[in-house]
Amino acid sequence: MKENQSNELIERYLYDVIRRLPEKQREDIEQELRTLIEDMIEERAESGEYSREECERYVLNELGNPVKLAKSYRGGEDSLISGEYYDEYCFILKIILICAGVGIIVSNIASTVIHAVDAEVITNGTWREMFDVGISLPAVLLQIFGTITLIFAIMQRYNVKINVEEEEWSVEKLPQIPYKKAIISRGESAVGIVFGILVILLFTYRPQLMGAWIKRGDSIVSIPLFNLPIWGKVLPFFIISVTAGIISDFVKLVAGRYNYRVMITTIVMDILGFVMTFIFIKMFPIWNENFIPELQRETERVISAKGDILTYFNTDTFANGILLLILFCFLLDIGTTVYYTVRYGNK
Amino acid sequence: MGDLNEILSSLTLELRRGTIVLSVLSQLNEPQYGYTLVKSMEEKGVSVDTNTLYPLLRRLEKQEILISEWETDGNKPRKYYKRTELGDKVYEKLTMQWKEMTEIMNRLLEPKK
Repeated sequence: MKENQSNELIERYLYDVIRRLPEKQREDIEQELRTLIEDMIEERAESGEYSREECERYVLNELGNPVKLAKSYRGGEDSLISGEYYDEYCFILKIILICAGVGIIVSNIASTVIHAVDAEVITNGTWREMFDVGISLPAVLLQIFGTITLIFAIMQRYNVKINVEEEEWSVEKLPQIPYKKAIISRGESAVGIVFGILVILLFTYRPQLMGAWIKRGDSIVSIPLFNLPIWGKVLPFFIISVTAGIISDFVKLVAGRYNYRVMITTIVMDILGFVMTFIFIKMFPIWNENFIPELQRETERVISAKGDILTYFNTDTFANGILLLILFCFLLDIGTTVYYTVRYGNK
Repeated sequence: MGDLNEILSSLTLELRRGTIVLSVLSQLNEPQYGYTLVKSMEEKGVSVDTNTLYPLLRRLEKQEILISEWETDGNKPRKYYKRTELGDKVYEKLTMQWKEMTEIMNRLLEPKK
């Protein structure tokens, strides 16, 4: 079936149609269209008047704009979330809703069972907690549902606008098939988004769960790692920082490949994320200064051994170490993105 | 006034669009490959764009009016479509509808005496 490199146009055409279709139908439609195109070309080439490439161009022009063809395969009508993104939309929605739902229930059960040492932070009676879950669970899930739908709807409107601007379609405008290494796995971006949202939920609604959990008699107590009384001030910086990461993952998910738009978003968002992280780690007393004393009291163990990481808790060295680690992650992200974009971005 | 042709062609297109499904169904009592279907319909004077027909076949398959099968004997795999039992019933009813409609339309369009 190999027909030399002039087949490239057909491949690019097929790619441009297929990528706009739901995953499940892609292979079938691709095969069907490929045979069709070959048949149409053969028919036209029969007379011997035209070169193979001329035939290809003629046939592809006759089939017309890939955007329109894909649209009629999808059933045409405009919907809030079209088939082009429907797979990703459902996938992300499903994962986040399940994780958040399970997360909220588990964390509520946990915080009913575990009592924070700082009595002021927690806690209400068990019944009150159950009541809270009943009220907050549907509300939070609905909020998540709305947010994700809105993001996808905006994204789609934006992309549709770009497509409409190119009214005069021609074979020359077919996109290049991205080089394999330039493709960003959708799963990877999706995991990033889901993880980010869950981290935000955890830090917003249940910061007291992050700490040391220690059994005291029949009950479990938690010694918060963070300075909860000032948490309200830290939270905005933290949320902006994580949201920046989520945005850059969204752009990656939509693009599906490394290109300059993805690179610039990643750099801007990573810098923003790091600045925010720097602010909340360096400017705020985010650590619970009673963490070590309380830990010692609860465990009746003295932490003094040299090299024990806990002896550095709440020191500048500790904060700088964490900051350095985070900086390294951001730089790694920027580094890989720039590398792949420069190397493969145009292929 | 200048765009009489334009108006006419868009209205004709609309008229024709309504008949595509019935025309396609009429040809598919035997399994047929998409592109030969386009050609054979063209010969009979019904022109359907390939890029309309292919998605349409798929939509009808999803509605279980058509059923498809890949034939991989030749050098290129081809997908053949034909009517299902449900498709036969739909075709029969639609044909009746069509006859009724054309009768009414003819009566409507006959010059009044």
